[in-house]
Amino acid sequence: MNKLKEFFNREQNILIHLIATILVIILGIIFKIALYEWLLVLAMVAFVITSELINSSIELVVDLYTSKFNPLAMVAKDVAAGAVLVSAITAACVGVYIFLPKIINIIK
Amino acid sequence: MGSKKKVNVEISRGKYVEEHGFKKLGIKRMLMSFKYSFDGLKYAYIHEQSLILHVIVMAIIIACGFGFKITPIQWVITLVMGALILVTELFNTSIEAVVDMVTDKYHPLAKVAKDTASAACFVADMMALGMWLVVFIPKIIAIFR
Repeated sequence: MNKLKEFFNREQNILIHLIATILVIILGIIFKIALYEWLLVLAMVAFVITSELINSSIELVVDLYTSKFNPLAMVAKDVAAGAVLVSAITAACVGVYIFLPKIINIIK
Repeated sequence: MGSKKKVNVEISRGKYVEEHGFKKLGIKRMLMSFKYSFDGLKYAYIHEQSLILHVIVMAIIIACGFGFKITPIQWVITLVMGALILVTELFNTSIEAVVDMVTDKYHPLAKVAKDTASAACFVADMMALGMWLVVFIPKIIAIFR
């Protein structure tokens, strides 16, 4: 349990994305979304988690190589973080596209 | 578990003081994470010529999407493949930076790393091109009938 907390303390992004995944799955069950919408959810979850893990991998490789400040290291880490941001924004947009009409339907 | 100790950390990003404690996971950390992401996007946009080319292609595809009136599902496919291309490109830039950081001279594994990352970009490009053709060619044919 302690190791889990230490892990999430170091890699905070993975925790946020796991929570978002669970939330989306619960919302999907509540709203009874169609099969193709489940496929979209699955694809976006895979996309985000993959890019997240590759980002962690690049971070670890950079930290493996050098522990001092290095401008190219900043470039590598920042660009990888940018990639994760793009994938997260895309997943959020697809989520909004899938769920917003249903939420509006329920509010009516 | 309640005690926090301040640790001086010097990593490749720069020096900072890290608090080793489990109480707060840090909103500040998340905000800094956002800042780093935007810095990375800005750097890639300025320094990578291929990224600008892809942005232009995306703009053309989006314009075609509006012009041909594609359905929402086709919009989702189009935009998700575009995002996949962007993400692979950004990771390619990152890997190139890492390889350049490690070595100045020629090294066979460095060539492997850079070539493989370029191959990933290429695969994403071809996949996206295929999906865009599947979406747009029927519409183009329908116009010519």
